[in-house]
Amino acid sequence: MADLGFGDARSGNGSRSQCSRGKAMLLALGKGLPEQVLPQEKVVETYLQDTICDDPATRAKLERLCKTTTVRTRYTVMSKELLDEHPELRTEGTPTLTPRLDICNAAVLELGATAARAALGEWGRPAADITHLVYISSSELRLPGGDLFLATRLGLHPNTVRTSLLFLGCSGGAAALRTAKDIAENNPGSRVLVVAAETTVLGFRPPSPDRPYDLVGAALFGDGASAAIIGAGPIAAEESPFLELQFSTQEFLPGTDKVIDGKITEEGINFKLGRDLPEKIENRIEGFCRTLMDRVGIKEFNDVFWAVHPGGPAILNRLEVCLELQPEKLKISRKALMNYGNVSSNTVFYVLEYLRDELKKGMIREEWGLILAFGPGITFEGMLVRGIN
Amino acid sequence: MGDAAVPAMVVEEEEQEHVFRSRFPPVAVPDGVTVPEFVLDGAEAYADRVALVEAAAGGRSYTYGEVARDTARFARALRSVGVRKGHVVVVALPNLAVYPVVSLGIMSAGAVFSGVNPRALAAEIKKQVEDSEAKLVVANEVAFDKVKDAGVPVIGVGDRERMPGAISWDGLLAAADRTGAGVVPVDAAQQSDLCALPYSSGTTGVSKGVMLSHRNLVSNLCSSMFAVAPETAGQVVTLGLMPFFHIYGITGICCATLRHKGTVVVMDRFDLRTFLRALVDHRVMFAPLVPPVMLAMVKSPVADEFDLSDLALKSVMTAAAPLAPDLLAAFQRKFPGVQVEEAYGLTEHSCITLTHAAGDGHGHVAKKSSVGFILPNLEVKFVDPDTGRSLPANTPGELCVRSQSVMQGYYKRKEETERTVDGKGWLHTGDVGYIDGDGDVFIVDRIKELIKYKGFQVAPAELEAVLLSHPSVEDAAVFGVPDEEAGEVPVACVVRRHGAEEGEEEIVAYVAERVASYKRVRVLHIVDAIPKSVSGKILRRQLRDEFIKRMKPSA
Repeated sequence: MADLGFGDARSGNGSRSQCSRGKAMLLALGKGLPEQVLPQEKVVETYLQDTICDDPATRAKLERLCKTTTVRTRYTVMSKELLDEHPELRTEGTPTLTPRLDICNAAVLELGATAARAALGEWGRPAADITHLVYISSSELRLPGGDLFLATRLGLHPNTVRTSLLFLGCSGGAAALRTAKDIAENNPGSRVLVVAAETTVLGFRPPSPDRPYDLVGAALFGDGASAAIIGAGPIAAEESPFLELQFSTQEFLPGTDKVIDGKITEEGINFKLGRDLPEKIENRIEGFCRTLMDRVGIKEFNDVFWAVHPGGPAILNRLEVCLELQPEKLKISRKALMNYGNVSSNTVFYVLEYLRDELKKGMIREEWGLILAFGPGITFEGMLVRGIN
Repeated sequence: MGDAAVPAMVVEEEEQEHVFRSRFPPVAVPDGVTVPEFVLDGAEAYADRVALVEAAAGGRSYTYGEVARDTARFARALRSVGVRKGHVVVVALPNLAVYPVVSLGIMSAGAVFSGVNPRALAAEIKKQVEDSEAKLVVANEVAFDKVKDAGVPVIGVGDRERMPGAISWDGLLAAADRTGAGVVPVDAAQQSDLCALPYSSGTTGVSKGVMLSHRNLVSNLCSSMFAVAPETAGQVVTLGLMPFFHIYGITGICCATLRHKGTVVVMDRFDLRTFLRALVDHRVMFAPLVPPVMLAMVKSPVADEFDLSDLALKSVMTAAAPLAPDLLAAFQRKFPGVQVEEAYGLTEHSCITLTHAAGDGHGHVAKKSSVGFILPNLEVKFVDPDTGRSLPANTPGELCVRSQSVMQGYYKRKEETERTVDGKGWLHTGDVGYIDGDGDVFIVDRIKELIKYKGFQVAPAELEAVLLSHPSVEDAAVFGVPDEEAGEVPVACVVRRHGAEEGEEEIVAYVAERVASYKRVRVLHIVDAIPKSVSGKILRRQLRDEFIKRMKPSA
């Protein structure tokens, strides 16, 4: 369907309650979090103790990082019991891919199923009405993949059409939304279950002076899963859409493939984030956002609401300064970072959950909004969305 | 056994031991329940009733529904941050309504609650954190600065801004609410597991962790609540003024009241106006106190500001510190309808051991100067400290007690444990006392504080009682100091009543007229105050050490 007939965005208030025909809509959200809570105040002690490190310089650096990330709470699959069971994970230089995958594969399935059940519960229709599954993770590797186990676990119909998006990193959640939108809009009556599940166990390792980035990971990344249900009209009586997915796009920045680098080795995944990442994003963000806003003729960045994957505080700060955003524009993105950390592909769904709450409370004045996420490539994922009252 | 015909004391033939038991029949102790399960049993039926309320204006309160909910939430939160069965959590909080929720939550998580005085020195708190190998500390603004560098994470109850670096209580509970099903299998607490590690007050020797199990506390509650009438459930209002970090505060006051679905009126620091206001406004019925509070109730002009004619107060109870006879008399004149009870208990015995309180209809009130009678399920004997043989009634010896409330031992102190709990399960209290023909127990003194004057034993408490009977003496403490000739001599510190003029000699002479010559006070000092522990015990050891230090330079 072409996106015609909206006219000027700011005059569209009268039509806000109407759903644009044929556009995919966000119908429900759910999340699944592991049992371990990691309050930021406990990170230094727990991490250094778990990895048996008593280097004062490392401690000081981690203490500083814990404050600068602005994260307050994260959830982790890693626990004392797991480390006791797998002491090799805290030792440098041992091949640990097998035990890591065993833990990750089981954990993402568990978390993903919890999130999916929560979303199905909120949605209100039976699981058998799900026609498509989009599964997204950068934390598992197996054959068959987690999508199959998830479909089985949830009791989805064997005809459910599955799509897996693996190792897209932080932009994966937005990519899954885009994929689900396309599926929903091209398959009348379809209902797409999106499940994103991540754990940092694949990359957990003891601190080393050679890899200062590990400490950033220890202070920033968390585990968890989310689920969303997406469908286009007709909308059933028990369904309550809150966001219309208007237009999506993707773009990669040529020559930046080393800026976000995840190398998979016998010791699990090894992440490196270039120091120039926030700058690279900043250089292109304005043009990218204009591409989205141009669809409805909006010129002013403060005239839309924002749901940005909070990769870290630096990215949000750059965005705010560069686009001259009012501070409350990124409030829900910062809140998700504060309460969950960077949970890779999931994080954007946690932001969307806060967005839904604000929409329901009538706290969002703007009709149109942007969903943004940045992943390896560097890849930008963006979506123009519309709030539904 | 167990019917009314059982005499007050039973002489056991086996090993010719003189073992005494309660005049009351044994009570059943439920198997398999933990302390939180026992205490919150039946809470649903009282969901909207107030369980805990802070006496101060605008204070927080908790209904039974909220206590049960937040106990479960905190237990989940503790698990979510990695606290496991057997881990110790130190609580450095003043008396707050949330306090019992914190301790029950810790016990529910299978962990071990270890209370510490939030007003203790940072070094003292740190020592307890280290000795107990605590994984976490719970504190509020009062103690935060003292615990923040203790080397373990701190959960801050209260204003987040004033506790930078603390894990927020509200935030943690909310975060734990969001967690999913556990990957880590839940290792449910068993009744035999440890649930509390109070540190015994350091009046004698070093402070030691006392290991108490769920079974210990449940059985102590069953014994001490034996006479509580079921029909008063949900009606009793108790004053929570005694410190909750002390085993008596958390068990004897909070757990007992919550078990019976009454209300605890929580007070942190004593202030006479707040205290009297609480008695009047909250209709407090039972008030465990220390003697100085009773003194203030009797003597302070502030009391005249309140109409105390219509108090709901039925009884007050003092423990740990002997009550001066003239104070008792004055109190009874002013509050004729209020029963004054005394109790005796030890941390090592989970709390109350002997009591006066038998409730209505049980018909036995122990003699005024005794510490009460033996509670059901307990065995008591009095042992000659020199021969180790048990003694018949009316013969003073070291009080020993055996029951399911006897501690599991001192934490990491095997030798001291063996010296305190013998191979047959008898807890040696270190207190000298005797039982009379009616089954009332009298405590003479601490063994370690007995003064040996030329080989004769002098009991400090006896001399203190004589001193307190002097009209000009407000407070007194007696202790022994080394003496070349006599071995030890009794020394007294005395607080004179305002306006009293008697000098040291007159008071020394007053005592000399009333005691055997070897018991005479040899040195007497007029002081401003007598140092006491939080539970009201005279810190005789501290007085003694200070006295000796002062004497040294001149000697």
